[in-house]
Amino acid sequence: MSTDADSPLSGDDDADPGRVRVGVAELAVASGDSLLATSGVGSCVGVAVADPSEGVAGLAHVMLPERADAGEEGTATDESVETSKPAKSAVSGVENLLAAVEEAGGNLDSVEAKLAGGSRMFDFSGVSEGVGRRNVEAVRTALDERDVDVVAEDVGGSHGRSLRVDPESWTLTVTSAHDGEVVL
Amino acid sequence: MNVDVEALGSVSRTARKGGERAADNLTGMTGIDARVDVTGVTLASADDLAQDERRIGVAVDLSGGIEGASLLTFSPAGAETLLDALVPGSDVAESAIAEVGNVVTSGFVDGWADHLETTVDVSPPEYVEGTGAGLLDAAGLLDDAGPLDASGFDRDRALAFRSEVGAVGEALDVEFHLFPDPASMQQLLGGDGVAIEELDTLREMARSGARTASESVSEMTGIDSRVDVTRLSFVPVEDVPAQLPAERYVGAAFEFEGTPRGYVLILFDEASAREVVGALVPGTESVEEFDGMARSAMEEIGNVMTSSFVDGWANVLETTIDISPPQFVHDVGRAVAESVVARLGQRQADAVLFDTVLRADDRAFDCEIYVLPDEREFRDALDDIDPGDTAERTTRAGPL
Repeated sequence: MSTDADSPLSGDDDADPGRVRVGVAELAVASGDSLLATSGVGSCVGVAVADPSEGVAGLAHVMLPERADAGEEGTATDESVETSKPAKSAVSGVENLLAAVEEAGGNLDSVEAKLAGGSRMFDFSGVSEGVGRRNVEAVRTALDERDVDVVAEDVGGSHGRSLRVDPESWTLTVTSAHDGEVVL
Repeated sequence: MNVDVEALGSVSRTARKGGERAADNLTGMTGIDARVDVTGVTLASADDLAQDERRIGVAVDLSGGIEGASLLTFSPAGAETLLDALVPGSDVAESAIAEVGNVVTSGFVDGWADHLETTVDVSPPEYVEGTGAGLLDAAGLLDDAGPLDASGFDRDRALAFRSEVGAVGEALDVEFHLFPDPASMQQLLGGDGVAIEELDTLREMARSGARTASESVSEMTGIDSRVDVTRLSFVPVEDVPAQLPAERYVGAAFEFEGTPRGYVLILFDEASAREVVGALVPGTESVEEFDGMARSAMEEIGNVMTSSFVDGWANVLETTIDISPPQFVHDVGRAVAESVVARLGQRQADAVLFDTVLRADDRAFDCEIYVLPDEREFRDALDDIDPGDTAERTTRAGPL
């Protein structure tokens, strides 16, 4: 859609300066009092990681449990996608997120994670069943492989969420119509 | 011309390179943190491209590696944000917009040219402002009254590359349309693919399906709605959610199975949903929760509207398409769309997106319909379209 009202800017989440917006399959890192935000998290998973002692945090909006390319015709993932969409799938999303946090001064030995999302919005069956649950599992596994503890999470359910990460206080604030505001 | 549907995905990525360069240029000039929200290829009529909102920007002619025209526009609020950043308190609005428009356009064009390993020359920018057709006209796209004007712009089925750039924390939106002329378009997308007329047949079917859906809404609720926009776009799957406003919607989601498979979203903004359920179930005009009867009413109207769409396709494709029971949704539209693409994304990198907006003339009413078929099955289905049937259907559908 391309009318004014459809501009992503119309969302409340985006009207606040000092807030870095993270799109689907993207990630960003911030420190100090600048916030990271992503909205419209349904079956995808928001992965927040931080080194609390350094006040550095990162947020990724992970879309898929695993890469879709798998050599299938018409779905090749070229280099440009990998660079502009670093969090499209769980494993590369977690890798890229941790690398970005480290580059911003975070110490990976003291990094911890908080998760939100992975809801089951529809009851449709078929090959894609449970993509939300599988997204959460894939992210947990990827974090575990890097020895990063998940210290808090708000996952599952059947509702959408908006997420906000504050690096300074290392909080992940989850907003939804379903549960109101929950601070992790 | 024929369009290689598989090539559309890679061209979308070329377009993204252009968008990224343009966003960089915008940030460099204004200090505003800009980023690409959406890039894709859109097939639409001139009427569908022409929005009602007033916009301000520049038109530029392209020659060399890509021949054609481009249109870069800002909303009035966005233009104001720009002017504040560039020349606070000044009244040189027009030249400042032309200048920033030129720099941002160059970003788009350079991104394209680099990615295609060619060079593209741009004409001096022409300042434009207005609504819809006026802007297309200013871009030199509507020179003649005929359906196909001298520049080769096809009013009935224009193919354009569309990018949107937004800003973080500022009211700034940039919309860029690139209209390559037919020869350039053939180079970019051409091949053994499907005739553009066939793609347009499905878009036209979507439009007539939307018309039927709109009539159903009107009959069932007394709200006199009309089809405002019908577009067919090819965009990276992860870009689909950003096409929806960041608002809460009420409606229903459907999965359809057959050839092709896919998903349909029928989404009303909350105020419109209240009007709809109020008309269907008296006494529910001010509901907040949309449960019970109100919820059933949403599911029912979604069901009728979805059938309108999918039945038309099934006829043209000479196949059977089954529709799932409705899944009621009341949530942020982007979360709903994101959950659909998380499913689609496991099988495909690019989405085929039909989007339609129904509006009413006499009140604020907004219903958005999104149809997302499985990309590969959609391609296969296109191959099976009988050209004779296509022509007949196109005629029967009548002029836009």
